[in-house]
Amino acid sequence: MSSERRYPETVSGPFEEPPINFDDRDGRDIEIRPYDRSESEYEALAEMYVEFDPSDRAQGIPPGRESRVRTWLDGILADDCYNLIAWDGDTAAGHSTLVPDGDDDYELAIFVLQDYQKAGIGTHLIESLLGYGYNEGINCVWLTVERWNHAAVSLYEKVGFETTGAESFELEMAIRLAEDG
Amino acid sequence: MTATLEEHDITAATRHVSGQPGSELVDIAESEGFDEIVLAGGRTSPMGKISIDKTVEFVVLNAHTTVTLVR
Repeated sequence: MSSERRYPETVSGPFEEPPINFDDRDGRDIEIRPYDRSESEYEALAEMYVEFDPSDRAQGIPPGRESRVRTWLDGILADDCYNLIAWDGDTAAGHSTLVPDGDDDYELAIFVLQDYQKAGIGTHLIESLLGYGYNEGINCVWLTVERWNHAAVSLYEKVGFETTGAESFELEMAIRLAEDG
Repeated sequence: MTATLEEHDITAATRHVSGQPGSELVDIAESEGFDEIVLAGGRTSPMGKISIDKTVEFVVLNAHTTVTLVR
């Protein structure tokens, strides 16, 4: 993508760092921790995405079929990406990811399984991912979001993302975690 | 562009337009009686998200012809 992407001048944070544990709004005990690259965690994530409600897909992800889910996961779970999984016991309830875009900055995405939405898990997933990224030396993070997805836009604004591009179907938003250099 | 066409053994006229490519495409289609506009339908981000750029959005919203986006 473009290296001309704009970022806010103001640094956001500090953010909580994984692992974290909390009770969600429905009283479920949720743990958020980095993906450990084990086969069992990979399979739990694949299962979450196969169950994902197609109406909650955005801009083509997660893909619809299991084979495509696995190809897509192979890309975003690669060694140069940062991934957090929200666990309810052995069930993957949510996932947040930072994928490098080749310009020293990272694209962010977050997914919460339908049964676990509106329970505060998304806020923790994104904040702890930003804390994780900051610890790993990431300065700048961006994302795109469909402009009618007001719930997502509010969540991103709440943690410090600013709208940096609004000329297209999607809004582009960005956050600064540290000064450059 | 020409190389891509040759590679696929397609004979077609190519033309460069300047200014706002979206409105130029819509103008050309209208004034020269084209019945369809076919465009590359979006970029894929590192995450795998598809986005539609400004040119495509303009054409989709403003063309009076059928518009086909190719993935």
